[in-house]
Amino acid sequence: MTRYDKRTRAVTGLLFLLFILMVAVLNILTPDQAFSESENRVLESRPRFSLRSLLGGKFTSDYETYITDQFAFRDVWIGIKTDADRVMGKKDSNGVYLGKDGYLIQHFSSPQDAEVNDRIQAIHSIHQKTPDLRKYIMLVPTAAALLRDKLPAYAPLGDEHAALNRVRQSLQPDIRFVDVYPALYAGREEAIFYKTDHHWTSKGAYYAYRVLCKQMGIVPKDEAAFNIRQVTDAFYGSLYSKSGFRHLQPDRINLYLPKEESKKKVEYVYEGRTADSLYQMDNLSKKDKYALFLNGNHALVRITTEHPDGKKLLIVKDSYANSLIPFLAEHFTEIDVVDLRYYEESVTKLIQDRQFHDMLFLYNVKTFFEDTSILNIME
Amino acid sequence: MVFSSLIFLFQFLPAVLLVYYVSPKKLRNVVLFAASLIFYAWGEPVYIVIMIFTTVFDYINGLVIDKYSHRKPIARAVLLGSICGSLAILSFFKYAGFVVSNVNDLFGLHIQVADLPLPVGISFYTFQTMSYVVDVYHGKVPTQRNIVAFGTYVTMFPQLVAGPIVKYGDIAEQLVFRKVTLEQFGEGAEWFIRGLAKKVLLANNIGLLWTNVNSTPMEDLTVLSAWLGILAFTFQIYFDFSGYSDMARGLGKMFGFEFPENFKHPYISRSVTEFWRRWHISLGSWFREYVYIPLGGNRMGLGKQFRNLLIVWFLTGLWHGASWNFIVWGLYFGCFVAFEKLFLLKWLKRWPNWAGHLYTLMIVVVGWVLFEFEHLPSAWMFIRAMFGFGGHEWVDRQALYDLTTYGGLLVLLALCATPLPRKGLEQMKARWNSVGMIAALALSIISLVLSSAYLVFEDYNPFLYFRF
Repeated sequence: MTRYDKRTRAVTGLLFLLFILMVAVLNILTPDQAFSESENRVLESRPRFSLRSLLGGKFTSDYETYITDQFAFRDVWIGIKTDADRVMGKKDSNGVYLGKDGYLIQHFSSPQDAEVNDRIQAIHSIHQKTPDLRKYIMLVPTAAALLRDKLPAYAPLGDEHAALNRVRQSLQPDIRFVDVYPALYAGREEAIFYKTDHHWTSKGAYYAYRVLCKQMGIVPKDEAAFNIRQVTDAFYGSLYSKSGFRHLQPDRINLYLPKEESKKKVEYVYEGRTADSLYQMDNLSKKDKYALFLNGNHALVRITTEHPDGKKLLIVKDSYANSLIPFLAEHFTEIDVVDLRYYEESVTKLIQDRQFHDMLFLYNVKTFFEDTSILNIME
Repeated sequence: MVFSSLIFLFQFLPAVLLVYYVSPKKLRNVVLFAASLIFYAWGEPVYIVIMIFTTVFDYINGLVIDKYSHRKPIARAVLLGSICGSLAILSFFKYAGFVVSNVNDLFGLHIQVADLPLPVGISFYTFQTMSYVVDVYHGKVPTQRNIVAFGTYVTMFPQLVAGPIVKYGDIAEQLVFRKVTLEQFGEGAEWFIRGLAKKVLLANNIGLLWTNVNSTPMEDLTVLSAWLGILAFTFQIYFDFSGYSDMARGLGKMFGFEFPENFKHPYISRSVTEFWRRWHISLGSWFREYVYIPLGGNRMGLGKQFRNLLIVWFLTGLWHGASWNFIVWGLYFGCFVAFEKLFLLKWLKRWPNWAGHLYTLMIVVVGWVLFEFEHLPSAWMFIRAMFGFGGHEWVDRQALYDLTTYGGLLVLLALCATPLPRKGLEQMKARWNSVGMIAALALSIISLVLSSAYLVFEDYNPFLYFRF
């Protein structure tokens, strides 16, 4: 063994000791945090010791979660990890693909037959109970389907278009299927999806709005009727958090504000709160800036406008609807927005109480097949 | 507790090292013993009782055998009692369910048996105490009269969970007297970091590929996916297991112990016999010393030798798990070892090198299918898929995606499974002293930082309440 070998070993030993001691001390010194902004969840706090929890193994496993959750400079470590993955050629993380041009795109798996049938059955069952209410269903393809050329090579994905067609073919003919696929496909070169978030942009929603209007027999407003205002250029969305990939450009959020302003009342029914805008601007200072649209998701939101013809619309939806509703608010007097993930009362009863003229199911393809809360509508 | 966790790396280990080196030499075994008990109790707060029982049981057996060393019948009876006791505990926890379910199947019975989880490390520490008692009986090692020193040997946390199986004789002297220099400590750190990187960076990452392939319905597998998957598993199990052994060896060195090397680049073997001299060496040598040779080894004619091989490989398989696939896996290797003894080794010598490598790798990789699928018909279906039987497609998008995603890692793994990286580093050191030193240091630091980052990511679990 050479002198250098000996010296290398000695230095390695010292560095190793230094490293583990330093990190250990850092961890003792950094105060615990209750909430992680970037992961958007409550972090584990120091578990309470009891003999029972120790013998049952709960104490030790909670304690280990606590240590990892409260690890000092957690975000820095996460960044190091995803960077190393990128160097090694990994192109996905937590079900999110690292696409070209800075696009993060969520994975989609084709639904099983049973999953399709259950959802059709749920929609048919409410249709049976309220046959006179005119129904529309809009399923929005996600970036995984429309931005295929942005995906990494050979990314194995389910076929959203085929899944949509399966729904369309199984629906009773008097439920109107709003096919936004062609319109969005035609606009795919434009920014119809955020790059770091799983939602569509207002532009994407605008294209879908035009298709919907056509089917509803409404004359849509031209793009020229809106002031397009950029409200932020520093939006790092859900996929940025979910994947942990770093070194990406943030998104901008543009709002389509009608040039002809009119008053709106937005009632968050369960929360007992009322606002006079469709946008909750202070969410721009938070992590999830998309929540500026209708203040995120709520069990029931009732929007009333000054529109004179008295038409009422019910929307059963996921968060994709939040950026489309501002367009529809220009054409209805009342819009009730139900999110079945939080709404626990009977939708049938709501329909009977409020006497809607139209009902719209609006989901993105992925939520529609993956989330099961839509099945609750059967009661 | 496991080595590859933040709590071990940044709480347990620094604390134990500090206390250990601050304590006077006399108390160091006590510190190590206590640390090992905490280490074990962390994951197994209840089963620690069994480990302590085994320790005390064989400590006393050793003393009694020593006392009656001049009266062989008594010593022999105690030896038998000790072995039976150890095997009974092992069997109760590891094999009872398996035996009962086979008896039920065979006789159409419905005997119920409590489905107990397996106590961690029981297969390792039982084999260690057994080796001690046998060696005391044969007078090969001195009897250990100090319960703390003996307890330190049995429960020593560096090798408690996943080996290597350290024979008492290997470290008997070190239990009484050991000296650690800074260079030795550093060598230990080098081994530990290398092992940690093998486990966290290499094994865990390629494990994702195997998990993917393994969750694909068998009928949707393509030939390429099947191969990618089983190669991923081949690397995963090697880097996982040898990484653990390296960490154990490194930790041992940090505390002044010299454990035997457990893996020596097994995948570069040119015969199955050679493979088993390089894979999990401490287990192979345990079976050779305590089963094969006592049975007569190869000294009693070809017939007996094959009987002995059969027994050893049956047991080797069974040791890995209480399920038929492990037994089949063991016997499968036993067959090839027997063929090689009979004629194959002679042939292999005449073959070109690459043919020997290819032959060995094929046997080993197909062996991993038997090892990994507890349900033997599934293993058979998987092997058929690998070789294109059963109407499987050759490639699909998923396979190509996996190939492009993991191709680089697979090449790196193949390289790391050979001695080339280590040789390269040695040469660098020999040629340019300081550059080699810096390269070695940089590699260690990068490995350590990256491993920590991957460990932090393990529970990275952003909650997206803006659900989808």
